[in-house]
Amino acid sequence: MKRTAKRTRTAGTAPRKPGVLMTFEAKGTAPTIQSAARKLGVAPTALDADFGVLAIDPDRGMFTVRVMDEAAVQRSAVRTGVGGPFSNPRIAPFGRTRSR
Amino acid sequence: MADVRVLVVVDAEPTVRHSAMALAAGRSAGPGKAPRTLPEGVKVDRKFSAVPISRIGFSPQLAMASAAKSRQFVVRGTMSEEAFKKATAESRQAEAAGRQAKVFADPRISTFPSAPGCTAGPVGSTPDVAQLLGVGALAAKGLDGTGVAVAVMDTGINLAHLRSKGLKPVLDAKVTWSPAGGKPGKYPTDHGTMCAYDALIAAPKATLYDFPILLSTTPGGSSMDGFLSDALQAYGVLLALLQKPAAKRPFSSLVISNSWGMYHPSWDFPKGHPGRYADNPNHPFNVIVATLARSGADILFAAGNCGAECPDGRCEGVVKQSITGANAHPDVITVAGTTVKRQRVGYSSQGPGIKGMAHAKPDLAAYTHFLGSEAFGANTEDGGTSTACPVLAGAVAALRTKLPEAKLAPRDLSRELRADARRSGTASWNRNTGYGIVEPLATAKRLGLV
Repeated sequence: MKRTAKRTRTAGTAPRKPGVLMTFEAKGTAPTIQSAARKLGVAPTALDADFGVLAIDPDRGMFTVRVMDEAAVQRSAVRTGVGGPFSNPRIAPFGRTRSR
Repeated sequence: MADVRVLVVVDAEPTVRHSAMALAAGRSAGPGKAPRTLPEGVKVDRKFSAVPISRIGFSPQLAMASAAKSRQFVVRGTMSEEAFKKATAESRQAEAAGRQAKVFADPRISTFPSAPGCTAGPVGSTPDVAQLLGVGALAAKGLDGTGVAVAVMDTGINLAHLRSKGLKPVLDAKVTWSPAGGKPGKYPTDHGTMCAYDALIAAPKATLYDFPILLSTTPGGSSMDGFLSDALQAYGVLLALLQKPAAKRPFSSLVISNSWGMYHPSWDFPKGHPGRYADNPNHPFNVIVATLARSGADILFAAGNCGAECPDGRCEGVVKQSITGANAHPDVITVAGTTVKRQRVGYSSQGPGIKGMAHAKPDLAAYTHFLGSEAFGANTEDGGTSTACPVLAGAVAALRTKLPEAKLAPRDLSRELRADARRSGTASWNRNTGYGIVEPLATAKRLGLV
């Protein structure tokens, strides 16, 4: 159950982009990045593989993925059974931190 | 009988014009002698510079209020109470007759006292909070969080700091998710450690889950921000646990404490966009919140720090409709903040929730701004609705020790807590503290837990 994303930024790499979230419905076995990409009509490389395919409502077979490619978002947004793009806003603590 | 301080309108004449011009030149000098049109009984203050004014009762004209051109000036003086009563009566008659009043009160003024919580420095301390929550009575009946997991969605927990405060925290390092590496329980002491401490006030034997979702690499943000997708991933981990049969879960109940959110609408898609987060129950994060709640998790969110009296600077002055997104979700308990004196802190976001989400937000209030974890140094307060949220999460965890969700679903427990909350007025809900300040001991008694 322990999951630690390999997202630690190293010097010289571009800062993380938020991307956007897309939803889709799928029945049966849990979708993979490849099957999610097919459902959305985009290349698998348009999806954030670290984020993966996340169940958000298993009873309804609803999943979400994070899409980093804006052009891909435009194509998938018009497909039947696909929801989004949904925002992926910045969030912050509701109190002081040592950095503020 | 004491004299009354008054402000008096007098006609222009050299003595007052010179006084006003001296003030404009940076020198303070009262009228050299009593103005001719000074009402009877007024003793003029020779140290108070005359102030040019545009004619009272007419549209103000800036040019006419200059020291050089004004036809009227205000001077300060004193008069006996008897003379003041007479002058007041004459002023009323003058106004009734369409003429200008000349004598006005010069009341004492002072700074407005800051709203509670608007200044640094703690109000009360952990023992006060524990007493108000009834922690002793709850613990005496075994309501201490044993077997209950409290997931702290924040900046990470530092167990060593918690131990240094005399706590004996239990943390399950196997259940975690981080966007930026690190080890559960070994993050730098910061906001997340404060939240963990506050949750343990009422549930000292709860098992902590460390989800440092706010350790971000967000461009433009601080090092203590994150993306909503980080929270989404963490929730995915918890949902996978809740999908298991109850006997195979590593907890009897799960409480999720969220002391975070969006500070300003500009962080989101524009208003009206169908993919917006703030007011959209169909946003993936709001969907997974509903799923988790339906699966048995008690989910608490801080109301936010955009209260009207002293909002956080990141609110950028937006203090209405500031409870948004999952913080205004109908399936979560939205927590406002009060001091241990039961006064709402001025930064606690006020309801109602944003249109499109639940209206009656916040739901409840809990304590904040007290001397607790000292995560930010000695004598610093645990503040923000960030503190109120885990304080209440700990109280929920305490009740859950003997009240699994199979007996009382999260939505029903929320209702029971609201029913027993201490209200500040006759209305059942108000925009400041929701249904009132939480009284977990009263709820425990009513439900037969103590």
